Amino acid sequence: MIREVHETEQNNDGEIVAADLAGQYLTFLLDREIYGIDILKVQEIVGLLPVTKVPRTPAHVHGVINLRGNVVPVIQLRAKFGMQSQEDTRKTCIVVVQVAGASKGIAIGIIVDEVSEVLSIANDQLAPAPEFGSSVDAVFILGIGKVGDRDIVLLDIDRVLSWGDLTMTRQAATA
Amino acid sequence: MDRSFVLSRIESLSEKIQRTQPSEVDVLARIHTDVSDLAAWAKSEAHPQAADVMDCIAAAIEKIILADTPDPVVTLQAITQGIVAFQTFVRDGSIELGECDAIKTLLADADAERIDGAGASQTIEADIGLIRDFVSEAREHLHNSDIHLLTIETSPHDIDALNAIFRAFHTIKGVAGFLALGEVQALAHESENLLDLARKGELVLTGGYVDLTFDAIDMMKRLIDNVERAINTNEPVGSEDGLADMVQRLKETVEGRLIPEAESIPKVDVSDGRVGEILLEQGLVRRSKIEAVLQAQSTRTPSKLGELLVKHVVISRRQLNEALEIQRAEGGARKLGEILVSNGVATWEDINRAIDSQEKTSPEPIGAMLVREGEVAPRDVVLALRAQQMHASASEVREAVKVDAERLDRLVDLIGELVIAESILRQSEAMSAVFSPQHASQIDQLGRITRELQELGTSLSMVPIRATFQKMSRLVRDLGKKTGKHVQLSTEGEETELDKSVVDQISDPLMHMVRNAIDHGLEASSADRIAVGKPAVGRVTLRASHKGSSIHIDIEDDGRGLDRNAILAKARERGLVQEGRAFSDSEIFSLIFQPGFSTAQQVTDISGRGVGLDVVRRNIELLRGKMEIRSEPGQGSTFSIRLPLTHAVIDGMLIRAGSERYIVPTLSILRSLKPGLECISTVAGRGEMLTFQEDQLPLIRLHELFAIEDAARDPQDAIVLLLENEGRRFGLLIDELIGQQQIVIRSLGDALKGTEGIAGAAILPDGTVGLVLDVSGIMKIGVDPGPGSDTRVRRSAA
Repeated sequence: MIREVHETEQNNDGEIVAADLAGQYLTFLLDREIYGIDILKVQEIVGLLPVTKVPRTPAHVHGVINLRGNVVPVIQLRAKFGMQSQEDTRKTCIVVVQVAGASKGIAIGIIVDEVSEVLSIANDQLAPAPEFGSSVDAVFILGIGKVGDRDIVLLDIDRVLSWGDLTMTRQAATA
Repeated sequence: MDRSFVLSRIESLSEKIQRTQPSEVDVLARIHTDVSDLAAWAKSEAHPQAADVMDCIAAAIEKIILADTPDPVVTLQAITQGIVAFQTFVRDGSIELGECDAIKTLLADADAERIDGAGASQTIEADIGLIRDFVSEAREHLHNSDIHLLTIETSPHDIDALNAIFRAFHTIKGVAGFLALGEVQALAHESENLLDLARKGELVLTGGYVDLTFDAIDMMKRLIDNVERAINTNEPVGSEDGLADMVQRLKETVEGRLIPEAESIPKVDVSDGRVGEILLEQGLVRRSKIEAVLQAQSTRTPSKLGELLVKHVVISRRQLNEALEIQRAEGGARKLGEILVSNGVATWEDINRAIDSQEKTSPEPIGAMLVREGEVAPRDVVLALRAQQMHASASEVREAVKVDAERLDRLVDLIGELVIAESILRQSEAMSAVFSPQHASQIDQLGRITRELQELGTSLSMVPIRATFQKMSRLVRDLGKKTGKHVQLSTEGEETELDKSVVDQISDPLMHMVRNAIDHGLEASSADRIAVGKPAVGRVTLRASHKGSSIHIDIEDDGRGLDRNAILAKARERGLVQEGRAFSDSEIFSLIFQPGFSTAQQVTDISGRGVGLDVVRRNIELLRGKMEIRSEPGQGSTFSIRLPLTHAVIDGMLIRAGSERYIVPTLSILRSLKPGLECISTVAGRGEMLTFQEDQLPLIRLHELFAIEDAARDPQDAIVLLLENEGRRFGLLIDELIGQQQIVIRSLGDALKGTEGIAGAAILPDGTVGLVLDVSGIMKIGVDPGPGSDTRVRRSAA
């Protein structure tokens, strides 16, 4: 099944709705809310590895890890979304995702509170991204999945981790 | 003039004249001045004979300049001999009257030949018996030289063979001079010069050089034939066509103006590529003969000591016969070696060498035996040897497998990961918990295999630097023509291997520096060089070697050297240096790497357009390398490049600042020191400065730069690393040096690439990621805060 997750279109009311968002999502917890990432973006899930801090990067850049000999940057998703930071728990883990880079995909790890499950979300379970009332900036949200009584925030992970963003303070500092 | 000054002057004169040609009128004019001065000095010192000789020489030089001499080459030779005699006189303080007369006669003879109308021919006046001895001795030497040259063809660095050929020509030259055989002497002299260069390792006798030496031997054989004919018929020695050309070719080769072409290699189609087979295939020898020689090869007896000495031209056959005669007369009381030494014709060193080679001689190769038997011409054997080599290398290629470069990279990467995994395993605490001797030996085994794999992996992408050096020799030739400078390039360590990607990237900087050495380094003309007592031909040397885990490449010239004052003046003019302080040589020299810095008086076609050494240095630093300059005024300059062995592996120093660890490339570290409080001061507008050996250097606190909260704040608890980048030094305040180690450097990934102050990452032995500091980046943010690269200019203008 091939899906175009990035494709969004505007309807007459100027509302952004998902073009074709149905599919499988990895869901995880962040500050008691449930988020989902397109399963095809997920490379692997690893436990907390020792992280080396990288200086002169934005606060949400947690550092780099050694993933079987590859150096992979790790993002504090809580910090990125402006949430309170919390102590790592036994359930804290790193989801390694593949995002679109300049030429090829880049592996980036995101730290989440807890990974829950993989959910299939059908078209009729989807709602457009809310403009207000979410703890996450609307530009990062593809839509909302409604499964049972749960609302799942489907993240546009490419946009969340847009790679220029990671070294942004450099430009800010020198501008 | 005092004696030592005279001696140095005559020495440079003597060297000068040997390289001068009759057509170089300007050089001759300067020599004339020197000679006149020396004549005046000899008069003032009351040495009328010596003064007389110099006057005659001065007159003879005038004649050459005025083209008033029948054969300027012969006259010049006589002059040279005269100057050498004068040199001996100055050194030893006496001159023999006979020698003065001999030289005067020589000069007069050279002049008189026109009156005879005999052209270049000579009559033989010396003792016929002596000449007969000379002819047979020379033939033996030349024959042996042919065979030694075959040895050199297969092993160009065989110093015994080189020495033997050199001595053969040297002996011929000496005797020919004594017998006044001018042509023989001239040819022997130039050949000797060529061989001397090979002996000193300044050129390698291969290909065209071997062919040229064969030509010289052949020509010499013909000259010797002429001499023999002349004594048999009692007629003047006939001149030989092509001699002047031959001498000229040798001379130009010695001066580095000519690189002799190798003869084309015959195409052979033989299955086993043996020399005998190749010669057979070309129809140069009969099979029965080869079989006979092979037979002789197997039943060969070791050569006798005397024969060996003659073969290596240590003694002449006559001397051997004399010694054997003495031995017989004494009834064999003394050994041959003892007699030779007591006769003063050989030293114990020669004898012992000969005995050594007597013991370890392997059977003579078939080619040499065929030549010795007079079956084939030595040149044909050489061509057969070259064909054999081509054959061999052609079959080597067939065994190679072409591999996709990407797969190779992947393999090398994986090996790198294996090395890391192995070291993590070795150091893990869980492992030491279950330690047993058996276990330890298995781990050791794994370690060994890993190490071997790593070496293999590294070698996969290694290529010798030879091809790059060869490119440079073409460049030197072209540049020599363009600038009109005589330049000789010599290379050392061509077999040094370095990473393929490094080879590709080193080529341009090298070319730039060779250009620079020729255009700016060497004197403007040969005359300028001669004037300061240097050989007319400029020398540029490229040298490569491995030292530890780095590669050193030197570009050395024997030119003017860097002009400290000119560089400093230029730097002051541009505001690149602070006024009123002393600079070390290396600081001054590193100024020439600044962008747009050129002290060339004029822009030439070749270099000096402002795209300069700064680009070279940037390229080298991109390869994580380093450049250094050494220079002596008037003696020349050496530009040294140090590069890590491969792109990926560098020597790093693991350091700590607070709870963070970083790696600093060892090449950037000058030294580390524990600063006293008095060494650190704050200068308004320039931040913290470190006083080090009377220099004020910027001090950067790593913990401030990288916002590390738990680092030592008191400099007395800290350590300062003295770092250098682009010739500028600064101090970096850290907490602790942990230790040195080799690391496999990798990119920080697309996402974090470009993080300021960080060059890359490496996996540390404990499995965590370590960050490699980017020294130039740190300097940029720490010393030159503010955007853009023009900070420096603005600061110095302020």
